[in-house]
Formats: sequence, C-alpha cells, structure tokens
Amino acid sequence: MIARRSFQLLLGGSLAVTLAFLVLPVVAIFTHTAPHKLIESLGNPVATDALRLSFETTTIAVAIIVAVGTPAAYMLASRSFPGRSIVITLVELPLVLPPAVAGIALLAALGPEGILGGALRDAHIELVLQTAGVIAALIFVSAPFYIRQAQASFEAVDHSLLDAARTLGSGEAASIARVAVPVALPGLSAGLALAWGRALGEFGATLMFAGSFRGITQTVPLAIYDQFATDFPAALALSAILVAVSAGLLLAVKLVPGQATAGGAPR
Amino acid sequence: MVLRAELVHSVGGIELDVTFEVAAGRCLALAGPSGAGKSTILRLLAGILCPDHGRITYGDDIWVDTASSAWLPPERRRCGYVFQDYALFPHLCAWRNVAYGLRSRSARDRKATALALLDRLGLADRADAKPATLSGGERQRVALARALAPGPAVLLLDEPLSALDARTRAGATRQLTATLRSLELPVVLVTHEFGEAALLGDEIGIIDHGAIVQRGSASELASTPTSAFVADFTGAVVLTGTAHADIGELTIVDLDGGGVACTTDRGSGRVALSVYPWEITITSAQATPDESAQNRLSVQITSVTTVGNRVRLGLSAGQPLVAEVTSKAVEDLDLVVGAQVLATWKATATRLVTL
Repeated sequence: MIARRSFQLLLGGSLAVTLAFLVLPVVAIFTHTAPHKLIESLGNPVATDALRLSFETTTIAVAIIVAVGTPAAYMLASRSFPGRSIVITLVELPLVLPPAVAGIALLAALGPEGILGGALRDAHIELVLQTAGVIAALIFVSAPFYIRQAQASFEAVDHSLLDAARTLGSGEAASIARVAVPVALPGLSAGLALAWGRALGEFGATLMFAGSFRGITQTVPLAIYDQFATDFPAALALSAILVAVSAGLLLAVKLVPGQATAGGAPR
Repeated sequence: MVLRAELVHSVGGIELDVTFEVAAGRCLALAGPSGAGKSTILRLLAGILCPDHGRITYGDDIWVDTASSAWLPPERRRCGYVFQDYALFPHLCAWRNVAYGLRSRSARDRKATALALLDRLGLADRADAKPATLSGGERQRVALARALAPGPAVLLLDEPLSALDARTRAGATRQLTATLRSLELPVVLVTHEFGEAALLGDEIGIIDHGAIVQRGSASELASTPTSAFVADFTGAVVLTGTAHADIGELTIVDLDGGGVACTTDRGSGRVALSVYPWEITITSAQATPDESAQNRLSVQITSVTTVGNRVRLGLSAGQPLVAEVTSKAVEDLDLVVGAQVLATWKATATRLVTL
C-alpha cells in the first residue's frame, strides 16, 4: 500500500517538474514586463516591419506548399511506382536537417554560385538576401510537415468512396477534388497548421540564406534575435505574439473535428 | 438493352473466367463463397478495373474490348453501383449523397430529385442526416437511392443485405425486391448467401473459384445441382406462405400454391419457411405417418439427381421443394420422376422468417 502510494507520488512529481520546466519560460515572457510596456513596444518600427514580413512570407510559403504539395502528397498516397519509398524519405529529409545545414544547402543549390545560380540569374530571379529567399527557406523547412500529414490523410480515405464517385459520373480529377480532398480535409488542415507553425518559427536557414535586413528578410524570429541585446521589452513583445500565434495553431490542430478518424496515422 | 460480358481476369490468386448476359428488367444473382471473385466481376463491369482479356457491351455500346483496345471510363458507363459497405460520402448529408450524380441538373432540380427518391424509400425525414448518424438499413437505402438517382443504364449490387442485422434484413429485403421489380434495366447482384440470391435474383449463377459452375432458377439449382459444391451451397429450401394461426406451440402457415406447414418459430402475416433438404424424409404415399414429424405434404417427384453418395429429389408441392435421400432409399421406394410420394419433416426443423 505504502509502496503504491510512493509510486503514485513519483509519477505525479515527475509530471509536475516536467510541466514547470516547460511552461515557466513561456509564462515568463508574459510576466517579465508589464503588459502595457509590451503593447507599447509593438509600436517600434522594427517590430511592425518584422510582423508584416513574417505574415506575408509565411502566407505565401504555405500557399505554395498547399498548391504544389497537395497533388504531390496524393500521388505518394495513391500510386505505387518504383523508388516510391526513396522519394518519401527524400521528401522527409528536411525534417531532420539542422537549420544551419539547411541554410548552407540552400546557398549551395540556389545561391549565386549554386547549382541553379546561373539559371536563376538568367531568369532575373534573386533569392539571396531577398524576401523571395526567405520564402524559399520557409518552404524548404516546412513543406515536409504538410506533405507527410497530407499523404497519411489521403491514404486513410477509403478507396471505394473514389470508386463510387467515378461510377456517379466524376472523372478522376473531379473525384479527388469533390471526395478525397473534403474527406481528408481535417488531416490536411492539421498539416497546414503544423507547416505554418514551423514556418513562423524558422530562424537558422533564413538567417544564413536570406540574411537579416529590416523590412526585407528580417522575420519575427530574426527581429527577436536582433532586438534582445538592445531592446529587451521589444524582443519579449514579439516573442509573446509568436507564442500566442503558435499556441493558436497548436489548438487548431487539436480541435479540428474528425482529426482522429480521417487524419489518421500513416498506414 | 442487354448487358453482355465475357471476362478473363486474374486477381489475388483467382483466375476469373465468366461469360453472361442480362436483359433489361432481369436480375442476375451471382452467388458464391467469399473470395470467389464476385466483387471483381462488378468492378470490371463498372470500369473500376480493366479485364486482362474480354469484352463488355451494353446494347450496341462497347464498354471495353481488349481485342480492339476499346475502353469507356467508369464515369461514362452509367452504372448504378451499391457498394458492399455502401461507400456513402461521409462529408455529405443523405440528400447530397443522392444528388452527387446529378451534376448536370440545376441546383433546385437536384435537391428535388434527391428528396423525391429518399421519400420513395421512406427516408424523407433523414435527408439532412450525415451517414455516420444513419442506421445500417438507412445507409443501404441511401446508397440505393444514390445509385438510382442519375437514371443508370445498369444496376450493380454488391452484397446489398449482408451488412444488415437480422431484424432490419426482412424489411430491407422486401423493399429491395419491390424496387428491383420496378426497374427496367439489367441488374447484376453478387452475394455469398444462396437465400439472398433466391429472393432477389430472377436467375442465379453459382460462382466457385472464378467460374460460373451452374446457372438456373433457385429451384432448379436446389433440385438438380450438377456438383456437390452447388448442392451444399444452395442450403435450405424456402417456402413462402401466410401464417394465420397459432395452435399451442406451433405456428400454422398456409403455403402459396397449396398445402399447410407448421413450425415452432413464431410469426404472422407473410412469411418464408426454410428447411434443409436432408431434414425431409420421403415415404411412399400409403405409408403410416411418423407422429413426431409434424409436416406432411403430398408431392410429385420432378427430378432425381445423384450428387456424390446422395440423391437430390426435386419435388413439386405447389412450390418447388427439395429433399436429399440415400441411393438405397431411391431403390427401395422406387423413386422415379412422376412418382407421387409423401414428404415429411419436423416442425422443429422449420425456420420462419417474417417477410
């Protein structure tokens, strides 16, 4: 009896320590400085520029990821072709790359001296130290989050639903648009939220590939880094906003209805 | 319009090789055990699969012909398909499921058509329900309505009653039978239950290992099976009638076509009685009846078929009936076609299903 109670205490104690350690820093962001000071700091042009830029670049990056990644994920989920598992592994690779490696890799591929550097120059596309470079970095690091989740969601869609749509007069593309996508939607939304969350927090690859220029490439995480030595309250205020938005995205993932059934784990 | 199919297809270790044709207003029931290739036949007809070799035509239209590489995709075949698990779109409510195939109509017309169909199948009050909240029987009817809504050329049914519990099944069977009777199009149904095939099909094809091993009416297949497999598969014989009274522990049933039978099961109104051929004893018409066997029908032998070490007797008693006896009994009692004999079986061996 006593042994059992002390075991319960051990479990409870571990959870309490874990929670305190994980939550305390987040709480500190909101309590360290008075709320009105935080709000004042948001008037700082560095903060407003960073917020605007982060909103624009992540929105564009996620839109491109959804537009290109959705059909790609459907292909991975519905077709078997030689080398499919290798392709899946390659798509997932950026998930485990250290951010600094991602930045170097992007420079080596898309930088002026990179593999595609000449081709991009001929097409008059500049990425390095440009807003477009931020978007490229965001796509590189966050696309796998969406594609993985989308693939699993499409695999979980019962194929007889698509067969039914075909016999009812829909062509293949129409069956996907009218049946597969709506049925997989909870999972697709969850993947979108995860990718967006990852893009918002992106730091290392952006810094190395696009630099940190106010209004051009300085997103919120870069601005926080830039500000924390000179204007700590401003850095805190930006951090508070990122925490709120990230928590909102996490909550959205958890609350999407039908997530457990239609989103599903990869089969 | 006639649907004709010659299909050779290899799938999952089964070599499918079947040829059949179904005229408008007729229902061909393909019955066989699980894994015999039945669902594959429907998928080939609908165009979800392409046969290795073969040809499917509907009237003068060629749906597939591997010899000339002709191919009509599923969306242009106009096959109404009721899937085994119904495959209702989970994100759409009942009427939107039914309206799915009506893309070419106006929005108002689509809804009106869908609602009218649901109403005909007794589902008017469930039109706005999502599939997850529908009962098994309701899902089956929504699936049927969805398949019929676009006015299909052919109707395909995959185990339409199997997913239903026993209580729902009788009503669903009656409604499906009535719906199929009213359709002027070829219907192909697959099932693993001979009883379902006998109730719904005008003609039955027994499928085993990818081939149609015998085809005919339910009573032909039961009375003159060409193989032990068909004899076993056909199982119980079904007699329809009207239950009119209870006498003590027995329900008395007036059989359609004459005669009376009784059962220890309870029921009233229109009923079907089922009895296994090996439960029926044949005695000469003059024999003194055994008192424990409470059902007695005077019958005429219409066929004598040897199946392995047993003999199947096709019997006519107003409705076709089948008995299975030993070859010794055939010799001893001189059982030949045309002979008038007495068929007896126990009330306790008679199952009753309310129709």
